[in-house]
Amino acid sequence: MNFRTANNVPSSKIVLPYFGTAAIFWVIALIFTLVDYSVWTNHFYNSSILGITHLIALGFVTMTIIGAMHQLIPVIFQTKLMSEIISIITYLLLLFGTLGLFFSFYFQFPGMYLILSGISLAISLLLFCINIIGTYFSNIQFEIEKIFVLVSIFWLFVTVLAGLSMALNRNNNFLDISQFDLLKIHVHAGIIGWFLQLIIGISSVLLPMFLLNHNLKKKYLILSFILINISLLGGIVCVLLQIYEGVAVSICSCAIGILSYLYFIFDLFRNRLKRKLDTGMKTTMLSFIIVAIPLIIAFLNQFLNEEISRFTFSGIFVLTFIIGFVSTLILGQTFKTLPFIVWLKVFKPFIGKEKTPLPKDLYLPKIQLVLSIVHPCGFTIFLFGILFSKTQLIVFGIGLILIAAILYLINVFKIILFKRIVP
Amino acid sequence: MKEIEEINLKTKVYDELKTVIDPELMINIVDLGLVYDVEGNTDTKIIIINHTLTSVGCPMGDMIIQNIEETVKRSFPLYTILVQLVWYPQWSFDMVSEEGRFALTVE
Repeated sequence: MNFRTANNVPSSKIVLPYFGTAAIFWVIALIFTLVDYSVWTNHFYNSSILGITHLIALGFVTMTIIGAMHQLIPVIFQTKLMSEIISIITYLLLLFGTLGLFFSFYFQFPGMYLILSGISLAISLLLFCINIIGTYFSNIQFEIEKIFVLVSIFWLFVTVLAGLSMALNRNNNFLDISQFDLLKIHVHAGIIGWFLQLIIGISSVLLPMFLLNHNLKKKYLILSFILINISLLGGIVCVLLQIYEGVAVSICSCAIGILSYLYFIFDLFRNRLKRKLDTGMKTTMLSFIIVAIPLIIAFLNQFLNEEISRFTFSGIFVLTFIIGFVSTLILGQTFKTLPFIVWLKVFKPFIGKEKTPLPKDLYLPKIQLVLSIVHPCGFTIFLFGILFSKTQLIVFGIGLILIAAILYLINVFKIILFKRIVP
Repeated sequence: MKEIEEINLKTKVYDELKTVIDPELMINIVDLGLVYDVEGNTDTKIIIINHTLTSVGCPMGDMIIQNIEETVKRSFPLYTILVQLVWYPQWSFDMVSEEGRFALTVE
């Protein structure tokens, strides 16, 4: 018999600030998106969109992902997090860096503000990388899910490096490479290398737990891993050497890699033991359908070589990936993970001694249901608005996404601020 | 006589364990087939519970263990409760009871 405890859960104080801050940033970013709606019918490379995109990518997505990682890494690596102090420093620097970067872009304060914010972010994310790698090496296991998480950390580092190079190159022009090529590396390393690979790594551990399926077809994950990383490395080399035919090959490789992962998810879903899905899982599954949109857009971008709106395909690809796929996934998975850590904090001393509510009782299910419907509807309308340059649709779409974000904020804070009622 | 007492004890412990719910699946751990064995000794006043989890690394594992221990202790305050988490044999769907299967498979 093998006796093992499962007591690797980190302190709630290192997880909750990330989720709370991310939910606030999400609402703020959408308010700016709504106020500045006219920019969404122009070319994406303008200061307002850069500011808002960074607020969403760093303030909402990265903040949530890092918070969730602190909670989930002990589950994935089956060991305690290396350092909780590093997690707190990571949070503070990420907060400062995100705000600095947003203001630098949005209100056009380039120069030292941008560089200082970039450095703050770089240190924050470097510390995060050290924490995750250190945790992994305390219990080394060569499983594909863990390798995905580990390699996503490498791509996070590449993303930061490319972003920092852009900030420095903007003033000094010390690199013999255009800002647009650096931007391509920055965006793809961030979206595919960091966000997507991390999501693949985490989801391939968590979804089998939630859906109860242990007969996993991991060969599709391995194929996905190989294709995505070859595509990223090959794509970057091709961009640097300006071999644009090679970029097309790398996009195909990446798309097949993503399809391989989606097949893994589909098979996991089809053969699950737990048939009934709660709202969180339904929203999660919807996000895997939405991920097809950026894939189609990436193909159209590469092979049609024409723009159907003034907002280019590249911009739409980033938007659909982040607001469509990643945000929907976050809106679903937050309610599968966050309540547990708060529930443990509040009720641990009373477990088994008195009747305690369940983690799902910590938030309002009706609010969750409404936001899980309103967000995808808003995103679809927003997407059509951008594709056909229709301002009314853009405003209506963002309005709905904002309503969903406010509902999400209410539920997240209801969980974070939950207090036990003394019987 | 002692054997009957211990069978009764075991039955009562199983009944208590049916109140311990897996918070994700919303099914009690007995019907989920997570409880592998219960041994009760009326002389030494020791109850040993061997159980597993649906997944290695389950973040709620610690809570389930504590819940088992406290729940059984509440009904058997004079006994020492030993809760042992085991991974062999690996949990599978075959271990789930009819009630558990119904709760899992209903859509």
